[in-house]
Amino acid sequence: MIMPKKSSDLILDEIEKRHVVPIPRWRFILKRSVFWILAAISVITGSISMVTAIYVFLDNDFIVDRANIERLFAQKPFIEEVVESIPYVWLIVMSLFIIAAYYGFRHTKKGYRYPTLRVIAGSVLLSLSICGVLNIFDVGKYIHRYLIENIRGYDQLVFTNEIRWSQMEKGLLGGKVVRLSLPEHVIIVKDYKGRLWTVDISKVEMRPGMQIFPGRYLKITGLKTGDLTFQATSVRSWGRKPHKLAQPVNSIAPMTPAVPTVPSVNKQDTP
Amino acid sequence: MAGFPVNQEQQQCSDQELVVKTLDNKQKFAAIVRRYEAPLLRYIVRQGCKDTSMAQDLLQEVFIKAYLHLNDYDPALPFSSWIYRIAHNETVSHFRKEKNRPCVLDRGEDDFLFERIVDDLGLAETENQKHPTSEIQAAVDGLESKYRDIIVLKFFEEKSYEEISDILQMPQGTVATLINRAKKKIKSCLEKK
Repeated sequence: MIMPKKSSDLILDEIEKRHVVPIPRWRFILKRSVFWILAAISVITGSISMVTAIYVFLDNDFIVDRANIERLFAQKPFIEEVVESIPYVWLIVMSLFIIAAYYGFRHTKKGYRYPTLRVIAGSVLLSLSICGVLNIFDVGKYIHRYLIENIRGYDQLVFTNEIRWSQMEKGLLGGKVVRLSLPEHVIIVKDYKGRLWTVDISKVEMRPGMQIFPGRYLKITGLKTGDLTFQATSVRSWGRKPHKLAQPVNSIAPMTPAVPTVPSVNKQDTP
Repeated sequence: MAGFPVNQEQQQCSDQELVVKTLDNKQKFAAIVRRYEAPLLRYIVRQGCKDTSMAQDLLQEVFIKAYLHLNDYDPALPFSSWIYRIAHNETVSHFRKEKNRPCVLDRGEDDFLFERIVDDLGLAETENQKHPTSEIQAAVDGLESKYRDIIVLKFFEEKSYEEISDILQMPQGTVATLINRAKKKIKSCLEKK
């Protein structure tokens, strides 16, 4: 007597007929690793965005030395200045990476067990911790400077101090010292757009401890006297803290050797 | 290949042990199929697949997919949650392809399960009038699919919050929230009648 097939037999027959074999374990491990890697990369890039956003925002003069610069921006309300200086593009990039980190984590084996808010908060906290470490090494500054000096259009996306200090008509010039000739009281400054400005610093009264050397970023106030010439009335270092790596070095030929214009009292610049 | 023997030893094995054995010898998969075919078929039907032959086809696809992905099974998770998840996804994707998800819950042998919902809502105690099963069924059928799915798992499949969380791949807090909202919706629907 032939017994009718049970449904379990039919299912097993079908498995046999279709030649189904279990997918190897390594493929699942690889798939899960991809999501873990996506989450990790997103957290790291999110923290890089965060450290750059923080640098761009804190680099503004209304935070660094508002009192000194106030008169130059008297025509603009402080709040407008702050709102304008928020690096929205970096905040958007950071948010996108936080979402990517959430997506990556959510697709790991047990990622679904954690509430969205907790995963996002964890991702932000982790990014903040990494951001703190990156900030020690001025990563935000290097990334921002690289982008503003080399990537066309970046200056359209963020309103930064570089833009504020590129208003030569208003007497504001910012940039990197590329050469200096102190006997002639002349320094060559490269602005963020790559233009070389010849700056006369003969009328500048240097602050104690102020050093000028190639590679140093400066904020110069004064008067535009020609196409690429500038008469300085005050010179200050760009950052709040002195450059850790660069030391006063000889100026680049054909100019004369560089010596601090005012003997150093200490290495700290007064902001 | 008909008539795979499932001996008593295999029937006593845990799901995890059966998975390990199946990876060595696919014939052991028969024990898993026999253990889960009835509850999964019932679950597929409760999800809205009333056509018996379609439900059988879906069940077959569920087992084939489970066999195919057997190496992805994490023994830290209950096997039943894992295979229910496959059944849930397979059924939902079937309805998505059909662009039609019927509303749904079958009565008959599930009658007492509808009453369980009423008991849980406390309606029977607070009101003198008794809600007929058809009313409760209409209230449940009227729910959005995300609420209906969770009600089916909680009251018809009698799954715990943790199991539902593993089946639907959502946090337990979300499961609790959805159950509460679903219950409120059912309650308000019944109170209107």
